[in-house]
This record gives sequence, C-alpha cells and structure tokens, in this order.
Amino acid sequence: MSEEIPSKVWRNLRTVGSLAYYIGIVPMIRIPTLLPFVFATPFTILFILFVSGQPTLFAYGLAGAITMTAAQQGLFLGADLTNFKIEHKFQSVVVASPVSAFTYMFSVALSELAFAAPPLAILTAIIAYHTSGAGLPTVAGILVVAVFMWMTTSSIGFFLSTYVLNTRTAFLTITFISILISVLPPVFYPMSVLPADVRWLSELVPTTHASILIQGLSGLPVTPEQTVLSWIALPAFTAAFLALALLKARWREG
Amino acid sequence: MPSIIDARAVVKYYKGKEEPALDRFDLSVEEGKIFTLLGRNGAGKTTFLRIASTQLAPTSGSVSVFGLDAMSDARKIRRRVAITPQEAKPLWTLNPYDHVVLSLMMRGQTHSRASTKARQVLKTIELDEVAGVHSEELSGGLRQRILIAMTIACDVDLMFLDEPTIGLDPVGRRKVWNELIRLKQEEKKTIVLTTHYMDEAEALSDELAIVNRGRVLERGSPLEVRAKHSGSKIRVDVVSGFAAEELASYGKVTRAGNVARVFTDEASGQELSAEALRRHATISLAPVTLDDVFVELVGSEPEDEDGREETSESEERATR
Repeated sequence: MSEEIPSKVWRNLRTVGSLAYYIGIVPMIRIPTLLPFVFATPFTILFILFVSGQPTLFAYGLAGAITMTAAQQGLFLGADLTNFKIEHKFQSVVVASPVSAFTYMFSVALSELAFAAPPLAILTAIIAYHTSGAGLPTVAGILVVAVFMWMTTSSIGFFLSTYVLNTRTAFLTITFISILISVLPPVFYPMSVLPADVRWLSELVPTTHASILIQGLSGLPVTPEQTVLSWIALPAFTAAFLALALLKARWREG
Repeated sequence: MPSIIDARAVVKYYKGKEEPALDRFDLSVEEGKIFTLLGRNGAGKTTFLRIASTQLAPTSGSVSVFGLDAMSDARKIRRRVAITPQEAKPLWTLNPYDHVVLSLMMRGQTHSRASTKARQVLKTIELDEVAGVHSEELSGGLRQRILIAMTIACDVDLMFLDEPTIGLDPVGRRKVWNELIRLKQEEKKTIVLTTHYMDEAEALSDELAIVNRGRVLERGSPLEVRAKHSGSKIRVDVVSGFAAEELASYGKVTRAGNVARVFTDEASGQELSAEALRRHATISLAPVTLDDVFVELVGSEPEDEDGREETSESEERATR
C-alpha cells in the first residue's frame, strides 16, 4: 500500500503534465502567433489608459489587465473544452480512461495558464518597476491573486463546457462573460468612482476582489477593511466555483 | 468463453425524443473476440458503445463490463477500456507521435515507455513516415489512423471502435483489419466495433449483431447470420434483357442501382441463367451476401432522420 501511493501520485502527475504540455505548451511553441490573442484585450484597454496621460489610471489599468488576463484564460478553458468535446470528441477518449474529471479540468486549465504566463510576467514586471519598494512579496502576492482568479474562472469554464452544446455558443458565451466580469466591475478603475449604493453589486464579482488586491499590492489606495474582505472573498469564490464545477458538471452524460 | 460485456434490457431515451435509442437491448460479448454491431444510422450502435464504455448512462436496464456494473464501477472499468469515438478529429498542432504518447502518458505511463510504444504502433499501422507531421496537414484517412493508433496503443483488455475505418482507403482499411486481428489472436484483446461496411464485418467479426431501432434483430457469426437468412438461396444480378414482371416469376426482386437483383433457389437460378444466355442478356450469379441479409432485415425500415443516437451531444442530462 505504501508503495502504491507514490506510484499513484506519479501516475497522476504524468497525466496532468502530459495533458498540460501537449494541449498548452506544444501549441504555444509551434504556433507562437497565438499569443497576441491572449494579450489583445487587456493590453488594448491598458493602451487606452496609457494614452489618456493619467498615471493613476494607468496604474489601475495594470491591476485590471492582470485580473483580466487570468480571468480570461480561465474562461477560455470552457471554450477549449467545448471544442475538444464537440469537434474532436477528445473528451470521449478521456472519459473512457482512468483520467478523472478533476484531473482533466486541472490539466487543461494548466495549459491555459501556460498561455497566460507571458502577459502575466510582463504586467507583473511593469508593476514591480512602477511601484517603489516593490519586492518579492509584492510579485508573489500578485501571482497568488492571479492564480486564485484563474482557478475561479477555470471552474466556471469547465462547468459551462459540460453544458454548452456547440463550439460557437461556447466562444460567444465565454467572450461575453469575460467582458461582463472584467470590464464592467471596478477592475480597471477604482471602486470609489462607483455610486455608493451599487458598490455592493460589484462585491459579488470575483474579479473585483482580485483587482482590489492587486491594486493594494501595487501601492494604490485600498482600505485595510476592503483588503481583508477581498482576501476572504476571493478564495471563497474560488472554493465555491470549484465545488460547483466538480459536483454539478456533467462528466458522464445522462 | 465468459462474457466480457453483458447488457440486459437496456433502455435509453434522449431528452426530447419520444422513441428510445435503445429499446430493451440485450447483448453479450465474449472475451477475446471481435464483435461487430451493424445497423443503419440512428439504429442504436453508438449509444450502446457509449454506455458500455461508461460515457453515457442508460435510462434503465443493466450493463456489466468485466463483471462490473457500468454505472457504479465505472472507474474500475475505465482502467481496462479505450475508445475511438465516431467522427473524432485529432488535436491540431499535434502530430501522430504526440497523439499516441499523450494517449499513453495520460494513462500514467512514463515518457520513455510511451515513446517506445508509440513508435511501434505508428510503424504497425504505417504512420511512422508521417509521425512528425502536424495532424492538420494529413489526409482524412491518416488522421483517422491516428485515432485508431491512440486506442490500440493503450494495451487495454477491451477496445471500442466506432466506425474506425471510415474515410480510409482500401489498403489502409486492410492494414487496420490485420492489426485488429493480430491484437485478438496474439494479445487476446476483445474488440467491439461498429461499421457500415459489410465486407469489414465479414472479414473481422467472430460475431456480429444487426441492430435496428434500438433492438438486436439478429446475431451470430457472419456465416451463421447469412445461412439463417439466405438458406440455399442464390443471388442473380440482372443488368439487361428482362422486364421486371418477368423476373418476379423467378423469385424476389429488388433494385440495386441499375441492377435488378433476384433472390431465388438454385434451380430457378439455373433456369434464369439459361434464359439469359438464350437472350444474350448480362447477368451474374453469386451466393447471398451479408449485405443482402442486412438489407433484407432492416432495408424496409425508414432511416431515422431525427438522429436518435449520434446527435446525443444535444440531449445530455446530468449524472456523474
């Protein structure tokens, strides 16, 4: 038994590693022109904020761009999984194998993260350069927030992919959700610009909390109460959506 | 031989459909055999394959695989099965070698073992020369062979192949047939496949079942099924020289393209041949084929246009 556990762990690691490598890293290496698609939307918004000539808005934009990149890549998991399921029938191959739903979701989500890694690295480097006194804790904090964001939206993406019935609907739905949660709430701008009576609404969106935390880590003004709330809310959203994905997503069809 | 798959009174309704895709479907498949499901589109073949391979839940009835319940023991079953789904496509940017290595490594094999096995399987089904070519640059037949390679490389006890040779040229089909027969004979694998090609069913199957409207109409070895339905009959294909009314006096007449096909006994067949010689008409005599038996059994049924099985993606319901 004691020998079986490490062997099982190694097997699972090979499963995760191979799926993430062949679905994420290999396409990125063989077709690097895919990368601009990941950069496009967040960097376009950031560019607009940059040319506006207001350094504070640009600083908020950096927090927003990191949040959007992580969120968007998580959601793209849903579009890719739908494509693998409907067009390639790859999910059929996976279901009829020892690979579990969670392992599959996690592996493909990791492959999406591989695509998000270059823009996240660039954005984090810009924040570190712009923020006086930013060191390893700041960078680590930003990456932790990005990972929470990616896990949350990956769960949403996986959940949606098991219900969406065609690839076109999947891409449209996911693009819509991405914009809905990354552009409308205070992700690229401070919460303080929202009227007081609608702020509670933005607290219901995980991207708000991710952006607030990155804003705080970047040296932008965030109250300690809000920081604490967001550090509680973001992992809570992650746990809730992960549970939803694993308990309610359809692996074997009924 | 013990049964490796045992299906009892399986019923499957898809959401929004009044007709069942499987209707009290009974079937057993013996270990170490090649078993073929034959049927028209929407007959229930793919639905059964998906249930037996633990991808789809039946509405009622039971399916056991390796003596394990396909619903409650799915995890144990999944370690020992692999499937080539119908109309699947390889993943873009990956080449045949990547596909087979991925198929093995996601089942937990090490890279070195997966790599060795991949090269061996790709050579066997003659994909070795294009092992490093992106799948989107390959022909449809070569892409289909990638999917078959992914399944046969897995070294599992039970393989499900849903229309595996569709799109393959005749030479490619025979390569696949030879490999499937080798897997059965040398490695004692059990293979369940569906096909529309009667020659494939005859060439490969130890046993076959003809399925229609969610039920098994007939089963047995190709020889048994043919003998049972053709008896001592022969088939006379008449190209020219006879009116349809005339031919009816010799036996049952059907149309097959430009040919009038007469199913008759040997004596009437000889009589018809003699008459054809006298008239210089073009005819040919042959034994009744599995194709004829299939058409006789299911040919009168209208094809299910609403797609009771393969379109199942649009009618999923939640279970785990």
